Amino acid sequence: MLTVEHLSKKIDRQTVLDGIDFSVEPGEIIALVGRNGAGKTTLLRTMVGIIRPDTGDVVYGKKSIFKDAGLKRDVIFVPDSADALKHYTVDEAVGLYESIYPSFSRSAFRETLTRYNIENKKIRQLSKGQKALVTLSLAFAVQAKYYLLDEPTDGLDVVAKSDVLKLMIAQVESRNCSIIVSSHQLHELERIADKVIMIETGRVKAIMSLEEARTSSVKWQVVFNDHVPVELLERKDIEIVSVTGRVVLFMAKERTEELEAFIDAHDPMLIEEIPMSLEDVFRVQLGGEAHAV
Amino acid sequence: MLSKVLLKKDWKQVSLLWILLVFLGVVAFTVPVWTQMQVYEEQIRNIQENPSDYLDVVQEDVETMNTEDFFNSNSDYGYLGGLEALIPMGVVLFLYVIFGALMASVLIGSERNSQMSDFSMSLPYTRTQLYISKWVIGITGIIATTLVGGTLMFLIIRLSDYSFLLEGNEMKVLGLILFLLLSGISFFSVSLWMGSFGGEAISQVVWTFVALVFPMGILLLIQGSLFAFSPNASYLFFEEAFESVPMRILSPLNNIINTDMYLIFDSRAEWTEFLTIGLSSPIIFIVLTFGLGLWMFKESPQENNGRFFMFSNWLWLIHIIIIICFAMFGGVFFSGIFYPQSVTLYLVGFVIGAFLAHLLAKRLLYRFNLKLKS
Repeated sequence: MLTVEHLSKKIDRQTVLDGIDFSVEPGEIIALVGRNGAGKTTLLRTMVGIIRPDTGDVVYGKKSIFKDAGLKRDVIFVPDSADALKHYTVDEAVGLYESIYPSFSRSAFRETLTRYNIENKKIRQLSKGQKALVTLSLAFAVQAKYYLLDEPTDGLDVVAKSDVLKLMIAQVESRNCSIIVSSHQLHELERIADKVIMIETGRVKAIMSLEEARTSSVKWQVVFNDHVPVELLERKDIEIVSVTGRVVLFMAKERTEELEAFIDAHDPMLIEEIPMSLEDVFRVQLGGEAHAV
Repeated sequence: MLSKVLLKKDWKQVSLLWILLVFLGVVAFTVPVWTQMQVYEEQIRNIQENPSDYLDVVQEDVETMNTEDFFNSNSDYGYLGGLEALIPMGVVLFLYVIFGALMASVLIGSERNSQMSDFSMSLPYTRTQLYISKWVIGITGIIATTLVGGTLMFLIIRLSDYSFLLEGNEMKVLGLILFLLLSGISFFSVSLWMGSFGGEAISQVVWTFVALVFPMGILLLIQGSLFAFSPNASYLFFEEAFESVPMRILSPLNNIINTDMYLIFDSRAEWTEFLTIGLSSPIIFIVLTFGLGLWMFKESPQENNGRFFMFSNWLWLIHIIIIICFAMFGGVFFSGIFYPQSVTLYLVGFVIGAFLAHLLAKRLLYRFNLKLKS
């Protein structure tokens, strides 16, 4: 099990990570979500020792990853671009990974390469989607236990995104490895993630399963007899999605009896509960624009 | 401790520069020797063809003189020079300064500019292993250059008409080649160390320049400042300081300046001093800079990659040092351009220098920051 214990970090006197605690079980895919600047990338970089934390630890087995660098053979960080290996050809990158990671499986990597028809060129000459696939395939061919992926689908077209997601799912299914994936593509994460970690200004705001995430908040469409009551629109604990005539669509952080009673008191014609997407949960829990996440 | 994999990775980054260094090093070690020999030949031919032009210096019949006679400093013949003129110290040292800084900035600074640094730090190796690998790959370039270039230089002299210059001086030539090697490694080591001061390639080169000139520069500024206030005082202390062992250890440039090649071949005392202080100073410097570099590389805050100075907790100190140095420079400059020297002009220059340095420091230290993803 990989455990993050009380991880804190200040950069330029600003708290970027503030007592982060969570653990990753084998075979889990965890979605790390948060607004821009929430600390997702810093958290992932800190977890593999790129950045040193001020306090806290990342423990794999019973050892600290900061004290035993060899543990990183099982905890692989994949950044959001293939910039690091841009001067390597695909074959050279394979050679490098093979020499760093004894567990690297050339055949597993070749299989992916053949499937996606990627040629042996300099990595910088590949398309963005191919770069992402090569970077991920290299990491997955290591056969490690844990993967920390920083926005792996950022900037990819729909086909490439789908390929990347398939690759991730295939790895977890075949090897029971764990993936922590930071992304702004919430609709993609909800297709693959078992658990969601919400980060807000360096703190873990919530850790929950996807199902819990969906049920923790509510999204209601209410049709009133007369008009949408102004008191409802002025409430601070809900987020109005749309108001069309007598119809209001809103989300609330929590399903409370008080809210239900409030709606009932205004004599609604119809109350319909709309299923929450991860994007809805994100908006209502962490605030802000969905597009800004 | 040393990882072959990391050496392979670092080789990929620096191989072009490494090979270019060896190639240019061979040129730097050999071409000036060959050129100097041509100059000697030309001079001898000129003297022999036009003896009347050299009557004041050549007091013998030039026709009876052989090549060796022109290089005998104790005879009455015209002395053309010695072995020291054949050894291209300056060219090789210049090459080592430039390539030391370039290789180090590719190995650390450029990594910090890109995501290569994150990639390296996320690998299953310690920061100590990462640093040692970079250091080793750099110094092997300097060792290879010196071995190949130095050997070729030695052979060129040995196989030329001037091989007599080597007789009895073989050890001294080898000593000078060793001196070049140690100086080269010193330049590279300090530059690699500066990779933990600056957060990207350009600032690493700037910090390297600062580290090389700082020990001598600060002494010169203090001397200049004191001179502005009391021009008639004795400044023997500074002369002694420049020649002192600590100064030669702290500044490879100062050690080079204090190494007189002519005297090494001519004076036993100077040769002994060269063997002791001249050669041990760079060794101590290398040990110091390697140790400090390793320690700072391990401690360097990776989140500050892209910044002019990595250790943000010490920005205030660097800020103060920049202001003091530039203020003194301003004072010395202003008091130096007018005669007679004036304390008032020094103070005016001091204030202007301090003000400009403050603006520069603010820009460099607090604003100059490549926005890398954090």
